[in-house]
Amino acid sequence: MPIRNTTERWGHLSIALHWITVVLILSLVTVGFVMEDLPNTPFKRDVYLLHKSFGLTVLALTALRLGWRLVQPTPALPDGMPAWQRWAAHGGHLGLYGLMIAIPASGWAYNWASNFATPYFGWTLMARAGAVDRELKAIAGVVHEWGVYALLALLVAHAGAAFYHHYQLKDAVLRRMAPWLKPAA
Amino acid sequence: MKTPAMRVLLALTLALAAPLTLATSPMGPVRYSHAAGSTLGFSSSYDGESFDGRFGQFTTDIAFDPASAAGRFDVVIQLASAGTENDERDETLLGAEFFNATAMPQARYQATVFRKLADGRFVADGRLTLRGITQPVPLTFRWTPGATPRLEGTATVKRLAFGVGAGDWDDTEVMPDAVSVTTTLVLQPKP
Repeated sequence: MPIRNTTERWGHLSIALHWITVVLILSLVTVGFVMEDLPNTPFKRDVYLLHKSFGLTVLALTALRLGWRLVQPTPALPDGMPAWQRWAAHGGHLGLYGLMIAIPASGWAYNWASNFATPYFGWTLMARAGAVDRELKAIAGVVHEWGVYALLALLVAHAGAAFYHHYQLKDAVLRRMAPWLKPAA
Repeated sequence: MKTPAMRVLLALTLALAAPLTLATSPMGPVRYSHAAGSTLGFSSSYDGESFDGRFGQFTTDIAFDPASAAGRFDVVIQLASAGTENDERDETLLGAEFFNATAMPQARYQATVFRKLADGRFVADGRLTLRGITQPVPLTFRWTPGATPRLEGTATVKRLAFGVGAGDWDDTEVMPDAVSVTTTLVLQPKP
């Protein structure tokens, strides 16, 4: 299978980026919900540093995916899909991309507004702001949290639609992104 | 002739007069408290990143005579007023592992023994009480005399001697034991 996309199928790079992002997002969301309630220890700080570093990784990978999508063909939706499903598919994907930018970006803003340096796996990506910005912190916190709820809702719809295509319509939509799957019986 | 009543009267007179004499004596030291523009700060670092903090609320009762290097310092610090420009760090700082500010809201620095250094500065051989633990902490300071004298001092506080961050945060490779404390006091005579 080639690295590039065609109008028929996703290439290696798009598939790899998709599934790496799935693993990262599910881990980040799980850890994100748990880490707030950890006792104030150096361990908690380490967990936050990793959450921030992996979150920035999702941001970078999403930028890469969007860039790759712009210069590459996108596999077409199957023929015969009702118009509302086409709109739902495009809207859902647009929403997912938007949230994969907005959630890490708001986390980064929250970190900045809290006057933390921006960490990246032991490196300092950006120095701390020097002062706390409570207004920005409050806004960024709301965007980050509600963004995750919206993302989870879209993920359920996204995976549900993929299973619907695979098991009900028995088309190639899911297999294009998960080539190891056999066609549904 | 001395009756018991007279003895009592005499004793009472002496007892009342003694502090009165001291308080009004022209030789008695002036007592100062700090005015606006005074600061009490501290510096440390975590994982290589330095940070500065300050106490917003503290009270001072300072008497000092630079000629004889004699005096008395009494500073009470409200620990809950500590801030490092980072809410999360401040929460940890005030928590049980560090200042334990809810259980022990105040720290106190008291000094009655002073030395003069060759460079004109002084050292207060005082004692700091923090988290219920009292330890000697020398404060090196410059005293600029005047109607409103100025005190600029530095001290090094070994945090672990007071149990500050002694549990999970005791790795001095990550967070040094020595915390530097800096103060500038703009003093005015107490009313």
